[in-house]
Amino acid sequence: MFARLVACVRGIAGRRRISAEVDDELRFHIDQEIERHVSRGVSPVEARRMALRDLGGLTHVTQAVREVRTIWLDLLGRDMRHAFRSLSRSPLFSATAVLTLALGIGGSTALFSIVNAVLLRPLPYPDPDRLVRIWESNPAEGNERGLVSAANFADWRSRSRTFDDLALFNVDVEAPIVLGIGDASVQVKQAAVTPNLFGLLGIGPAIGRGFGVVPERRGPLDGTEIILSHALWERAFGGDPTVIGRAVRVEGAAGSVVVGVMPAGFTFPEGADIWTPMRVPVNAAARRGLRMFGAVGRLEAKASVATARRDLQSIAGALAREHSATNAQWTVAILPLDESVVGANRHALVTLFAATAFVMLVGCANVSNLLFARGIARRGELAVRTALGASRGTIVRLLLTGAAVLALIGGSAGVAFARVLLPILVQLAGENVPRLTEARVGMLTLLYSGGAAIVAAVLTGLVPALRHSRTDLVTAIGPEGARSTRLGADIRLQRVIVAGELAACLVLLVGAMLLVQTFVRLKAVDLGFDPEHVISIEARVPIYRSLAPDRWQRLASDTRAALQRLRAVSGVQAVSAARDLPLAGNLLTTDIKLFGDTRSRQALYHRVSPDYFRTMGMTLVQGRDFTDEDMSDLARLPDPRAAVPRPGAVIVSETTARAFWPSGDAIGQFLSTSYDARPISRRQVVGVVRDVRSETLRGGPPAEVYVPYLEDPSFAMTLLVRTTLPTDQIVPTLRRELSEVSADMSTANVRMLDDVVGDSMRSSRFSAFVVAAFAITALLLSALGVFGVFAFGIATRVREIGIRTALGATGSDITRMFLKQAAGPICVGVVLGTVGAFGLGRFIQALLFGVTPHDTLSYVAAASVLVGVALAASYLPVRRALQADPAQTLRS
Amino acid sequence: MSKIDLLQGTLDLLILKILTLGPNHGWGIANRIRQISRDGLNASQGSLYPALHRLELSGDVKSEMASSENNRRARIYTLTTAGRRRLDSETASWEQFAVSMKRILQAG
Repeated sequence: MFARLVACVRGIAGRRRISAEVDDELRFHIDQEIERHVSRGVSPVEARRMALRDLGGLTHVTQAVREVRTIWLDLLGRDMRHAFRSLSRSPLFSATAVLTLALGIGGSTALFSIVNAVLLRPLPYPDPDRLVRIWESNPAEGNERGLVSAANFADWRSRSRTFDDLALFNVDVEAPIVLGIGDASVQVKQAAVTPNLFGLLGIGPAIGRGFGVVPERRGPLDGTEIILSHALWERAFGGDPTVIGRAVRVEGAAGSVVVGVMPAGFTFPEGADIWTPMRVPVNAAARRGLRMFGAVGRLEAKASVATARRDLQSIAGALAREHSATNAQWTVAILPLDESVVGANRHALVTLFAATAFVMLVGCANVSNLLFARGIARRGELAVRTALGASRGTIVRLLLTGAAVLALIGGSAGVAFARVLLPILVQLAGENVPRLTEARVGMLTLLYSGGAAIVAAVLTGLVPALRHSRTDLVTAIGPEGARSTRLGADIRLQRVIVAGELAACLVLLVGAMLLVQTFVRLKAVDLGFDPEHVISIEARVPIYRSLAPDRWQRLASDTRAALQRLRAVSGVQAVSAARDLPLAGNLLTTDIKLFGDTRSRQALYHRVSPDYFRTMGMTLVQGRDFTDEDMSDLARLPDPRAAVPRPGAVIVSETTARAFWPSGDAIGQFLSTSYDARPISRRQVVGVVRDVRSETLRGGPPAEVYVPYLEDPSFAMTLLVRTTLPTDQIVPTLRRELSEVSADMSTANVRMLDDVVGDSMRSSRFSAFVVAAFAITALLLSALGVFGVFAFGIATRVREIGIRTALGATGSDITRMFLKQAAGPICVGVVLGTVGAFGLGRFIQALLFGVTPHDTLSYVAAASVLVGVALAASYLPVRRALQADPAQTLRS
Repeated sequence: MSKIDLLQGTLDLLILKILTLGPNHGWGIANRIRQISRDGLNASQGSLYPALHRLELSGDVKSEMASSENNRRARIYTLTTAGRRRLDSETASWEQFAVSMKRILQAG
């Protein structure tokens, strides 16, 4: 049979070649015949004529052979036409089958294009497997992947031997800066990078050039070279190629110049609109504990990730010994860049993709049963075909072609459905998934959906085709054709398929329940603060003000004025300023230690103004909040960065207090922080506040410290306003007040705090939502499947029902009888599904929070829903059958 | 003896039988049919080649292009195991058929 397939494929493929070979074959024949005649004394000319005559005409024979060779193609065409005709004759069946397949294939296709864009495609850099991402890591403090300090980076660069190159970049691109172009200005996200980053990644600017040497001394007012992203270039400069050399203002300061534009699609770090060069500071040693950068490296040709890891870890070990104050217990974590980019999304995406596979299975089972039932109805026709000489293979081919045509139409509809579904999914998934927006229904995706359609065709068509191709002619054609005893076996087979379908559906339902529970529990996590009714506004002043000698005073007075004005707005309950927002990512860390102690801990470092805790709804458990006095004498100093003899104030979180002073008397104790704008050697604890979730909802809270904001006021601060008034009412007032603080203060990024919190749960919400949607789809399909199979079974027993009713059986007797029969496949389905869900449970574990994969409640709930729906679906046909008049059915 | 025309099914049988004597090309098979039946069977040579290709598609023979004895390119056919099986079963049917026909025709 394989040889046959090969011959037929060869026939379709090499038509012209086959023709030429047939010509050769016949020519040989003619030549031999001519020889034979000539050797008997016939003239060559006459011999040729006789040979051609005996053969029956060259073209005639050639044609006959060609027909033989292409017979498969004709047969296939005939089968397909037949399939189309019979599908259009039963539109309800066709529509149901096509819709079911479209749902399954379409959902699967949409997920595949997402998985392809995010997980499968290699990164768009040359030799991407040589690229790695490097973090500093302190497992003892629970910090697996922390940011990198410039001083440590410099030492890695000079000491390591396994890297071609290393580059540094700042990870916080979210806070927009203002770019002035001519008279207009636009807010952009800026990434400061070491100049070798582009060379390291292997992608150079599309226009212009990369960065030159970065000048050593550069104040914030000096111009800098800028490289634009392709998107920004088109958006703000109109795609003008003469942009190179154009002068722009950065944060109001003139003197910056555009030197290059990156190619379209290049975005590293993610989201950057412009790149500026930074120099790894030579005196970075002064701030070795200040970890705020990201690092990437390109491995040497002969190095592997493992050797590079060992290399850097040994360097980190040496640094820990040399600089124990800042580096003790710190090591290094390395991952290939593509893995680091994907991150936690891998698990979620793979789970979702597997979920679509289950939906497709359920859909295929349904269509298979539909085809099966149809085949039973076509028994007579198939038997006649067999009687007329069709072999079993022919019948199988006929039925499979029918299934293939269905799968083809269903697949095309599925692709259209996927096109619509994809943007919805991308929108729901949020902005935290890198490369998600590049998901398209492209060539590879179409190839996948083609493959899915083939699989669907085989799954749906194979069992009915094999089953119906062996018909017992006599009983099939006879008057009892549709009621032969083989029917019992067929219905049993249908029930097996239904049981499988129910099992797949149960797995999905359990998954959905687990994920929904995860989301609910995440939402219920005690944040430690109350995000409702809090508005956050980013207020910025241009950096050029940093040149003025009185810049700190001005910043301090502006900050105070802003807070005062906002407080005065009616409807405002509390106002405060802070450097960062919880759960918004990119928090700063610092090293803290007990004053006089050499052992240090990592802690999250927050700079907040008085009233912060009240604004955020956080609870002070001991001591007091910051007062104006804590910040007051700083404003009087010419430069807050000068040393101060008086200890500054600090408020610590409960975890920190417990860690350092377990006996509970934290107030009045001293500690020192190593990340300090000012070299304050020690701070005194004035208050203890309850823990909050600043970084992530999962896992335990880290140690946190709060210092007064004005010690290191920022040119970009976040103002938090607690108010009961609706946002649209009060925000314009707030903005107006802020604009009156200083002419050059601008506001941006007005957000509700509970939106910020909500965004951090987006991934969980997305997974839960999508799987729940799939589970409901599968449930509906299963219900349809159960209904179909039982309706069919009961239709064949209508007579029996009539007889039983006439003999005195009541409606409930008959109902009970049928429901007992329904119980079989339903029970098998539930058992199989439970086993399956158990087995697959560990794959989903990483996504769960607050529930185990074997959570009893989820299983029981899912099984109950499934059994309920399945019983209802099998009850409906019984009810309809009972409503028929028994006398009628007996007579028919 | 008049030349008897052959039905398609019987032609297939003859081809298979001749190939048991060894691989051969189309002309060789036609020649052999002529020789063995002493010119009694008139296999229209034109129907020989479609039959050969059909046999190849159904897997009873396989073929390849090769050089013949006098260095001409010709397609050589070989019997396959499936073909051998088919030959055996159809030969048995034929013999039964012939015996039955003879009985019927000679019945008094």
